[in-house]
Amino acid sequence: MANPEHSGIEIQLSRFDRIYRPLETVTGILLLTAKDGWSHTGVTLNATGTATLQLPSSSNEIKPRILMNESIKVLESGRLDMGVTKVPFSFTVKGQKENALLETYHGAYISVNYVVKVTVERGVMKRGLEKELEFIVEVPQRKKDVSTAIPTEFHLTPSTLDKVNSSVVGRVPGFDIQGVLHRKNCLINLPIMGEVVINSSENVIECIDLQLVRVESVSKALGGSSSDVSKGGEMAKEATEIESLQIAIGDVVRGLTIPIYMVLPRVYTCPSLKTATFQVEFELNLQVVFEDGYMVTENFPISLHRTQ
Amino acid sequence: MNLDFRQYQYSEESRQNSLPLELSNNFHPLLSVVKETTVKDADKPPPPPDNKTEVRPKEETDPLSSDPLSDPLSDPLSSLAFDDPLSSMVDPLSNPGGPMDSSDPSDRGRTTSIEDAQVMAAQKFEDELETPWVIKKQQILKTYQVTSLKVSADFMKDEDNREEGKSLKSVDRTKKRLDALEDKEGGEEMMELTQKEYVEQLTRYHEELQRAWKAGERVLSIKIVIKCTRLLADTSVVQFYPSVFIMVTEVLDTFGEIVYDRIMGKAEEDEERDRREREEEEKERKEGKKSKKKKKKKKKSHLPPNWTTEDINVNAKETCRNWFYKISSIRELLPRIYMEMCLLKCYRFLSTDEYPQVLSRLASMIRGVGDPLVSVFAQCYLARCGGVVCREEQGYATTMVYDYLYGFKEYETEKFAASLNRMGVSLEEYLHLQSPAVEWIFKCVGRKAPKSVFTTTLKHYRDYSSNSMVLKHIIDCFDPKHYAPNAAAMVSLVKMAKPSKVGMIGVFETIAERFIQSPPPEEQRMLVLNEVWKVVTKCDDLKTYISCSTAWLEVVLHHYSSLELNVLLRDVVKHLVVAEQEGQVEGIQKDLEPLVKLLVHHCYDFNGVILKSGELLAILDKFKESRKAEHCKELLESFAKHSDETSDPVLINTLFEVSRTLHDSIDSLSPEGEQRHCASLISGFIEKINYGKDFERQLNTYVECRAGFCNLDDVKTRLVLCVCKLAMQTLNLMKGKHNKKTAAFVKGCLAFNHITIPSIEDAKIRLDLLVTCGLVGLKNMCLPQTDTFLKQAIVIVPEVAGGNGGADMIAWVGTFCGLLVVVPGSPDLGPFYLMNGLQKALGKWSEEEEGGNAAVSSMMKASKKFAKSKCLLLMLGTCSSWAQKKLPYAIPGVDSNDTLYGGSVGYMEELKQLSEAIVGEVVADIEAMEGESSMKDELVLGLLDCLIEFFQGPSADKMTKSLAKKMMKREQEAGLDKNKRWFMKIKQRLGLQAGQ
Repeated sequence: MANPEHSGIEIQLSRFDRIYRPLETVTGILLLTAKDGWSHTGVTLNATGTATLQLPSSSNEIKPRILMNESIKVLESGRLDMGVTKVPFSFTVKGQKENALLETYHGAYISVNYVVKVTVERGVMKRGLEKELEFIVEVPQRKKDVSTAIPTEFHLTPSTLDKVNSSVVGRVPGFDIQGVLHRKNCLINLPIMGEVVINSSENVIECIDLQLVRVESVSKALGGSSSDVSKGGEMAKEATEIESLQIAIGDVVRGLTIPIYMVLPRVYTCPSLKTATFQVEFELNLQVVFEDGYMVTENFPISLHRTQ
Repeated sequence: MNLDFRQYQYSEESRQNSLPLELSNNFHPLLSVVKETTVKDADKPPPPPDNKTEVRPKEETDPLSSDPLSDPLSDPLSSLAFDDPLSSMVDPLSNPGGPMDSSDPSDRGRTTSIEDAQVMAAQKFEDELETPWVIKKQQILKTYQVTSLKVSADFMKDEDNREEGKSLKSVDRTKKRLDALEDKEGGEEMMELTQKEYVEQLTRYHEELQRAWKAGERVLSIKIVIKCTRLLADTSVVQFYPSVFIMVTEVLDTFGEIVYDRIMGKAEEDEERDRREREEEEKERKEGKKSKKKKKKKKKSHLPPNWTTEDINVNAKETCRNWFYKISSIRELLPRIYMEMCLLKCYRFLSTDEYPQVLSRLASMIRGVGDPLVSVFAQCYLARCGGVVCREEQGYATTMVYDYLYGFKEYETEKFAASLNRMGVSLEEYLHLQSPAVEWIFKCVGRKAPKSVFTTTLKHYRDYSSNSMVLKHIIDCFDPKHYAPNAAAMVSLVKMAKPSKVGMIGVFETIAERFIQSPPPEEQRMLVLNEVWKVVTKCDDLKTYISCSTAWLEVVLHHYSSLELNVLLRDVVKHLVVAEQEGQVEGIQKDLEPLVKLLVHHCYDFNGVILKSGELLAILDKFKESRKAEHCKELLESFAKHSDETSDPVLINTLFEVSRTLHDSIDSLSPEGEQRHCASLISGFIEKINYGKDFERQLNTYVECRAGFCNLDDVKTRLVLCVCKLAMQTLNLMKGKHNKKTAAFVKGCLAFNHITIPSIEDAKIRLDLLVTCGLVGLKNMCLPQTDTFLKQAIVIVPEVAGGNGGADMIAWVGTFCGLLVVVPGSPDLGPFYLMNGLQKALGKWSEEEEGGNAAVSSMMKASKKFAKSKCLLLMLGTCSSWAQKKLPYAIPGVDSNDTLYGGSVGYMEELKQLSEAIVGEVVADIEAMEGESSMKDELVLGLLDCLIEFFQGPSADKMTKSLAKKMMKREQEAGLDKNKRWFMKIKQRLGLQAGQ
């Protein structure tokens, strides 16, 4: 076999999308490339899951929470011949006792990620080799939370506006907007769907937008002394618009049902998450913008779920 | 030289040599051929009598049958039929082509053409529904144009940050970029572009997209496409919108195509194999092999031709899914919809049966587009893309149609009127802009739509739209079977429709086109036509009127009677006349064209009522000379194809005028082929004139024709032959015996020919005609006329060119000599003066110089000399016949030389001298030929043949022997034996004669 130019490690997982669920076995192959051949004191594989938190407007480091920590010795100390050695491995996705597994998620202040890390020790004289690869964990929820759709109907007229003084209501140009959101308890792999109908509107409509907002909350207590963590307490919230779609543009035909349709972006969403110290929630805003600049907004708190 | 004639018993010989004859039964394979050709045979002159058979068995039957000229009412042809041995088999003759007494033949013709027309119309309907987008595209681009348009300055900015695109790998940054792109910059600069510049800029985008894609800059590619689709949201220059749509969707189509190809490429990768290949490559590289031959083997697809999502690998699926995720996060509605539409084809990688769902989702998403024009074009694009991926699915298209019709209620609002005002267009114009998109959507729905869909569509139409533009497309795109049964109701629906650029007349035109295929039910037809025409006749715009009339004329031609046809035609002409008075006919010809084509094609329906009415000619007069001539040609062609012989004076007169027009369009500069074509068309018409037994009228018509078509020699030739035929018909009718009146008539015929023939330019044709006329004269017992014709023929012999190396002349002399056998000698000039004349004329002919250079000329001369000698040999045959006691054939009622001279001594002596002179001339010719040649051999053999066949006695034998010996010797010396059989025959003959 030819002598490779460099020594190195490559990790290959059996699944192309690298998505695994709790209690599933991750299998894969290590490709160890050895230049000239060398001896080592053992090859170790660590699979770790961590939840990293950060307080908005605070630079204080919060100690990451370990969700998973598996360690296996892939090879006992020995010698690798020149060339590529293939070593199969496998481990199970399972959580620590005190912390249940959470879904992989990359947010602004909260992130959950899982990594496979392979380390090769080559004794004192030689630099060790390291390689990391992220894998994704999805945590399905129990069926009963999501088995039935919970629709939300809405009906907007000048009188339903809550931020308008009742005395002004009479002067607001008339409109009558009706609709429905097919489910509040959304499934993360299905689009958000619903309908909206402009029954009437005196003003010309400029557009109708659909906005998906993510709210991350981290317990403020985490920022201080770490002794009181479990109690939670006041949360620091941060809302981010993660997707905004026009579902209508221009003065749409009155009485025609316009679909509400949004495919949830993959990376920025995760099932709604609620722990004592941090949470990730979602909201949907329907905004009808009129030509004169006025805007009517309806807010829908929604929850995202992953099914089995 | 002392040649004696050999005597023959022709009748005895013929009896001995003839084979037993048997009449063929009805199953003879050639019978049908005979039927067809008989009519034509009749125009040909009777076969020249040189073939030594009886010309025609003209038995002396009772000549007292009616005089054709005094009794034109009796049917001449039925009596004629007894004369004709073929008549029992020939049907067409017993059904005279004379007056067409019933409408039967034409009706028959029409019925079949109704079905044809329906099939054709149905086909046309199908074809229209299947018009490929490519064609439609061109039409739209042509229709919707502007001089200049305002666009935001951003449009002209080139993408300058290409490098940036490369580094943007992470999805986050992509998204950021997209967001940045989509943010509308405040205070946009506007700039004015010409249409050309606009188109060029879009073309640049198109090219840039392809370039960026090739360079692997996917993000940039998406950016470009989004930028393009954004143009579709801009309706600031509405008049140009349809064209913009076309250009932008072209970019989108390209994009859809390249994305599909890319995913396809991934799907076709075989991971295992690829790894193997990569490893091999690696190995080679390491081993230092400098085989730089990068074998970029075309990876063979391992996908089956009918692959489904199950055949696709995870990698490709993931890529595909990513594309759709990317698209679904585009903020703006229009680019998002358009991008998904152009990528529709890619759904096939992910699932098999999702198309109906996806299409109907997209259809309802388009409802979010408020601008009606933008919306309907988006629907159009969906219909187009949907048609490609899932042809059978129509549910979504139906939804779109209903949505579109529902949207019409907005057009009545003040708000909308204001926005039209802003755009500077009327509602009619605005709808006209929508038209191509609407058409496409309706096509998508109308194709094979069941009645229920039609009914619902029509209901929506009545509830919301009621606009003629929409109605036109409904009529156009749905199967006419759905509405033809309620034709009257449809017509009133048309009348009630609100106006658009497609006027009521235009809709009537469309509906007419469909009625050709599915006519209204019988009981509604009159009502429908009346209702429609009440409106159409009031149409002010001539073009619209004409094209609508054309459509209705076709309906009437197929499904109505001649009565309605006449009324319609008169109305059309009335309109044209009024328009002419107002000076509006300029440039109308192009629009009249289809109408004329239609009329010309059908001009013989209903017994030629279209032609006879004169309306067609009136319409033709509106055309320029050359175009008119073309139509005349078509008319005559159509006549030749569809009509039987006719005696209808109106029809004949009309066609005469038509032919005149055609004739007058020809001048000396017209190409020869053109002249010939016209002549044959006119001749075809002349041949179909048949007044039955009214021969005088027939002849008068021919006289008129001669005057009318004097510039076309081919026509004149045809006329001469027709007149010959006429003379022969008269003779037949009189059973071979003319009375005073018919004799005079025949003389008239011959006089006609006598005058006509000299005006024909080609001497060869004249020669042929003169012989034919001579024969006709002889058969009709007009001896002086015959003499004149034959003399005239001899006189022009020297003028004739030596065509075909003289072969033409040889053939003609053969015919002529055959005739000469029975031509009686002149009391003044002796029995053989014609023969003498011919001999002299041939001599002159062979001396006649012809143009060309010396070499060609001398060759011509040699071949003419040879031809002359051959002709002389043919003349010997005639001489031999004359020497018999009874001529081989005779013409009833004509005393030939055998009777006139009865073999008198003086006659025989003169004949002998003549023959000897001819033989002498041939011998001299042979001797004059230099050297040896096949020509010379042929002549010698020919002469030998004549000597043996025609002559006897020692003098003839001696001559034969010496000639034969010379020739045999020469052949032996040359070692040739090609004429061996010939010599055997001669030897045998001589041996018998000489007793050797």
